[in-house]
Amino acid sequence: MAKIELKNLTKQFGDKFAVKDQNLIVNQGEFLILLGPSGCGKTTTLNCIAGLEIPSSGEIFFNNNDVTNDPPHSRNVAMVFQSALLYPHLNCKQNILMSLKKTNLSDDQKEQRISESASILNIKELMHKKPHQLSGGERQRVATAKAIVRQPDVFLLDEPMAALDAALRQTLRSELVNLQKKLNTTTVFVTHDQVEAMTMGDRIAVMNDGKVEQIGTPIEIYNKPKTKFVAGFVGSPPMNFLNGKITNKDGNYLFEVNSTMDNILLNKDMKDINNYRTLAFRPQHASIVNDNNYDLELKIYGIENLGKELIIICEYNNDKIRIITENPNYKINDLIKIKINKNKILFF
Amino acid sequence: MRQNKEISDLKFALFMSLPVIFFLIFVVIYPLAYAFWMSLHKVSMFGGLKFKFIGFSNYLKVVTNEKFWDALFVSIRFTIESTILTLLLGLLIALILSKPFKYKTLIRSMIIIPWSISLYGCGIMWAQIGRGQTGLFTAIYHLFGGDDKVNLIGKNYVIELLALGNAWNLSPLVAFFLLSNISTIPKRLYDLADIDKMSNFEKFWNVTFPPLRFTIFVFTCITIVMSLKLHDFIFTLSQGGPGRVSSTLTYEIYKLSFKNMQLGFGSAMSFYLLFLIVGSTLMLYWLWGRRLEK
Amino acid sequence: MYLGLFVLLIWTLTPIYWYLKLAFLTPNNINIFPPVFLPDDMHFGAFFNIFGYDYTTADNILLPASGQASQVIRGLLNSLFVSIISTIITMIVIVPLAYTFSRLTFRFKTALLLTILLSVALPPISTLIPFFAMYVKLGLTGTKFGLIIVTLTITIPFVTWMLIGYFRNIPPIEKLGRIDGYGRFETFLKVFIPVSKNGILVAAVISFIFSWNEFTYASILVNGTKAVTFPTSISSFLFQHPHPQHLSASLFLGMIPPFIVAVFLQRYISEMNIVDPLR
Repeated sequence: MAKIELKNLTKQFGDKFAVKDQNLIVNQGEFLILLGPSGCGKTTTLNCIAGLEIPSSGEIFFNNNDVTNDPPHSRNVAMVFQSALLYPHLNCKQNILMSLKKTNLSDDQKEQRISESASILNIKELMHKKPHQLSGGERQRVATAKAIVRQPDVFLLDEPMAALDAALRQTLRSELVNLQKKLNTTTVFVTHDQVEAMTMGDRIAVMNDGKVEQIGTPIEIYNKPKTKFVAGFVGSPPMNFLNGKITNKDGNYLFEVNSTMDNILLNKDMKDINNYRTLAFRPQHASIVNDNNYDLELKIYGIENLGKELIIICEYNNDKIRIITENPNYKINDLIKIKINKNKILFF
Repeated sequence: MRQNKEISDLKFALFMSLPVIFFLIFVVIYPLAYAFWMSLHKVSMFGGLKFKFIGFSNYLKVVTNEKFWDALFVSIRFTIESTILTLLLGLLIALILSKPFKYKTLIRSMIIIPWSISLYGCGIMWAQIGRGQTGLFTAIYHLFGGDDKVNLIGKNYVIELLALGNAWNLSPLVAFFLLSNISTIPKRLYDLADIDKMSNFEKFWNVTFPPLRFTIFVFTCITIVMSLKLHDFIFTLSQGGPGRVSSTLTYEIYKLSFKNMQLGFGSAMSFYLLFLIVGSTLMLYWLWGRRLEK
Repeated sequence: MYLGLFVLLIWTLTPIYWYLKLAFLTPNNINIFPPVFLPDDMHFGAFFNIFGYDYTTADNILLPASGQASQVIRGLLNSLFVSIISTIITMIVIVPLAYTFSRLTFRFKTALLLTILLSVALPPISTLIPFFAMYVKLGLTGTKFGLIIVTLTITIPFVTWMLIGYFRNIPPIEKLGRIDGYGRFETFLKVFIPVSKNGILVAAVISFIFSWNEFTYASILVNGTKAVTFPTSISSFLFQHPHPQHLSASLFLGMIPPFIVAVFLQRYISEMNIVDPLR
């Protein structure tokens, strides 16, 4: 078990910054998710933690020991790679054994460890198969067993489920979280899938452009996104954005949406008058109304029926606005009036 | 801090390949430089090697030499014919082999045989086939009632015979690579083509051919290079003859350097050949390859 | 469809048959005009002759042993020696080289890769001139050592190129190896090489065929010396002693090793992706 600390971590490839001046603390026993779009530097960060890449500058501490230049093995990290990479020429048992090759354990102890981790992940009957004979889920389990067999201080996962289908992912998600809580190993999990991030992590670090934009529990990230990027990246269906400026008319604060005549009446006193801002609200924080007390009138572009509720997609000002409703009686091209819950809106 | 630091990619690459790069310099770069140095000298072999510096006059001598231009023309003609034949044959073989049939492994093994035969062996074989006295074509001609010799090793067709033999040797390799490309084309695309009511030729042109283009480009380059640098095949098939009719640049360089022992002159000419090889592939890349890369 | 296959097999096999039938003929039958497709009384005489044994046919015709027999046997042994040694050296050299080019990123990589491509494009006849001059000075003509060195100029660039293509398609197991505690070189040696052993084997075999079939260098550097190789030893049948049946029989023998290899390796050949490194 270890506490991981990144201080001003920077990694450059040529002139390009993959990670820029990153500071991050992962607490002991924590399940931290690095979430971000591809190319945001999350895998590079993970590789630096693992020791697969040496940072251009900055330091990495495990339990306050500087490990910045240590090779992976001496950091006692275990890693599961994209699409659960395994040695193709070895069977599952040999693959798992490879994790213990460089340890001082006796052969009996190794056997013991392997059979323990195999029974934890329920893969005993797969031990003599080669990786190409396994299904995606089985590979994932074997790769996880290979990682936990060394009883690592830090457990790193790089989009391990990216290649699996949705149903399997859902099963493996809870399995993995359950395992992590059982072993209480500090875990860093890289993904671009915000559902994975929301459901698995104790905390989420949302990354963009080589930097952490926000770090917090899933609830904090969801309810109080600090930047527009985080707001747009987390949550499904995504948050709605309106560009415009705040004005003060006769003591009433209004949000004037750009290139339309629409004004949205705000219920709070605003400081930032006449500056261009973005108003954001989640789809469930607007409702469809029939009276004249509405904020916007929209035309329906598409409807996605999820069974328990519907997502109404409207076209507005060259952009899409999504609203959640339970009323199934709308059709494409209908006009609807919506009222936004002013207590839930955010400005960026 | 611990001493056990890891080395960077560049250092590791150097560690891995520095010995090798020295080796390459020793067997490739140094001889090339030495050849260039020789080309600036008049080299005589009598009583040990003697070098006399004469500047670039060997290079001048080459371009004013009528034999050089003849050989250049022969090389180009042979190369163009070889390339067209090799690629067409390779494509044809690949298309035939891509269909399902019985004993596939056995037949594929037989098709690859010509590639495994050495070029000097091919030369000897095709000389036998082309010669009037013993040739396959004479035998066929007689089968249909003729009573003359069909001699292909004469001044009219010897280059075509060379190209045919060369293509016979090279095309199986081309075919195998094209075949592995064809096998990655999704079957659904052919179903789509059926729905669009494409004819067989349209299917070939719109479905099979597009994914093969890059491989075809690469093998066009490879065939051009292989044909331009080909020596042993020509040496055993026709010895550049009859006369100088099939004397390619490689054969002319061979004759100059190792029969007449004009090593300086020979290396000067070999640099022209090298320019031709590099130049023609670069030109092909400019005209064709660049557009395929995206 | 089957007609196409049939034509294809005829096209592939006829030239071989047309030449190799000579090996089974008596000298009198060879020059029969017009040439026939299916000659009668074929026998294995020539195969005995080239190894220095007389042979009497069923019709009591004595076929005397070839005067070149000792050259042929020496050539076979020398070829075997030269091919095996150059293959071993080639493999020691190219596996790390191909690994570096396919799996690592570093500066000047493209330029160095182009150098390798350039050396693939070098005509053997051009390389031969400086080597010949150097060897005359160093006294290396007519030695197996000298021949091995020049043979490497053919095998190394081409087979490196092939292996680069093959190595590129291997999953990124180095990361796995390093997490498991292997150093970079150890990962290469104990993890990467075992994973890619099939491709390395194919590369070795191809480099063996290349040196086995090498003629241009040998004909200038070792022909007529103790270090004569098989191809050059049989070429003396071509110009000095016109016994077509002996030449044909020898050629047939020389074809056997590459033939066996080609048949067994044909399904791996297209894995040696020589197109990929250019992308």
